[in-house]
Amino acid sequence: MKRIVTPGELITDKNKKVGGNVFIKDNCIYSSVLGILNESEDYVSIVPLNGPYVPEVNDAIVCIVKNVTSNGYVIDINAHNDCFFPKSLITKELRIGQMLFARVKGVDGSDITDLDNINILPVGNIIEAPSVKVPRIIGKNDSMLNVLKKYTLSNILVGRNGWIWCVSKNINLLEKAINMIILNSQKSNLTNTIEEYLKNNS
Amino acid sequence: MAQTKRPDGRALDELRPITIKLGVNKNADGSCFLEWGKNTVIATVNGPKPIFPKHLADSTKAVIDYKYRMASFSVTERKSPVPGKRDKEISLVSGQALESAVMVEQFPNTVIDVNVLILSADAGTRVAALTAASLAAADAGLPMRGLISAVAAGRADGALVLDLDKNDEDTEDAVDMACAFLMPQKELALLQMDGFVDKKDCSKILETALKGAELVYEIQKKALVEKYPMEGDIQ
Repeated sequence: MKRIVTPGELITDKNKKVGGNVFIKDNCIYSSVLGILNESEDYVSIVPLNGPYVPEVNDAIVCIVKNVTSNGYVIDINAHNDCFFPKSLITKELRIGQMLFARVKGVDGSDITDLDNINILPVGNIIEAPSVKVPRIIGKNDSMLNVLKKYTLSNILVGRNGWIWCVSKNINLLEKAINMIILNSQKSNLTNTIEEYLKNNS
Repeated sequence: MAQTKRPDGRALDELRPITIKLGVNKNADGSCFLEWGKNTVIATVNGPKPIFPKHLADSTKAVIDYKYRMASFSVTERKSPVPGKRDKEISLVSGQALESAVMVEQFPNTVIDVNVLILSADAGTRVAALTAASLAAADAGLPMRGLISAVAAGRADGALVLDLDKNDEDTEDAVDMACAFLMPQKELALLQMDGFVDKKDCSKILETALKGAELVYEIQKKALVEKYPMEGDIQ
């Protein structure tokens, strides 16, 4: 049975390997966020239920050009700080509002982010989701993503930062389905339920 | 004979009823609606986000911009909506108390906006506001060392009481000590006091407040867990 833990809650006083979203004090392991406990014999981590996007190296993200300056572009990556991309590294000219798909090349103290492999995306919609729910929207072996694509006849690109680029014939249904995933991410058997919902409504 | 009940029927160490609802504001990253007796509070948390003007930025941590405001209709006589000395002071100390709970060092050069609006006031609004703000921060998914559980304790009519309401505060010998604790570590995060008290009573009041904070913490934890039901229909 999965258990929800609150910030500051004692998880264990045993010596275990730790993953994300925990902190250690006086040889005890505590949770640092509101999330679902993932504990095995020698490992502890927390899957958060909400939270800001913190860029990490090699993240594939969807981003938007926010401003053009004389020597580069200010790019909104849905993180707490914007990122700057110099004009010298890209041959094509970008416009304000253009959607991009890029890879995070480097992060400096979670403050400055460098991008790499920038691709310009065609015109489409962006659906916002909390970045912590992205693994649930993709599913195991892309199972959830394939269900969404199949029943809403859409082309979807999920960024690790929680922005989902899509071109769809039924955008309202897609948006509703994604909202359902976000609101019920802690429950099990979600893919089958979403598939049934889409089957009945498409 | 020593006093055992208060005018509203509560025991001396009894809290007013608390109800909490999380995620009430869809535009905010985290939000909390809290009713504490006749107090009604709404708290929202936004951020971390870029800070403007830039000279306010701290390169080692995020700045918490805590705004405590009372609505003009929150009290019986209209309160001017212009933030006064009291609002600014409470905002400053409550922001510092919340900073001890949130791991601000993970988000340098940013700001976390915390807005708390008192919709209806009946003594103890600053502790209700801080309790709601810490829940909103947890709801927003910010990394935290613990939750801030705040409660007032003090003296009314010669007896040590927990969670003073307006009747208790208006007695002649009233002492009102607003305390906030970082739970479950039980570290003191905020201490303010009105009235005169001797050393012995002071430590007794603090003990009473800590017991009250433990009760508040249990209610907070329950509210956070109940927001995400693990079973039931998928809507």
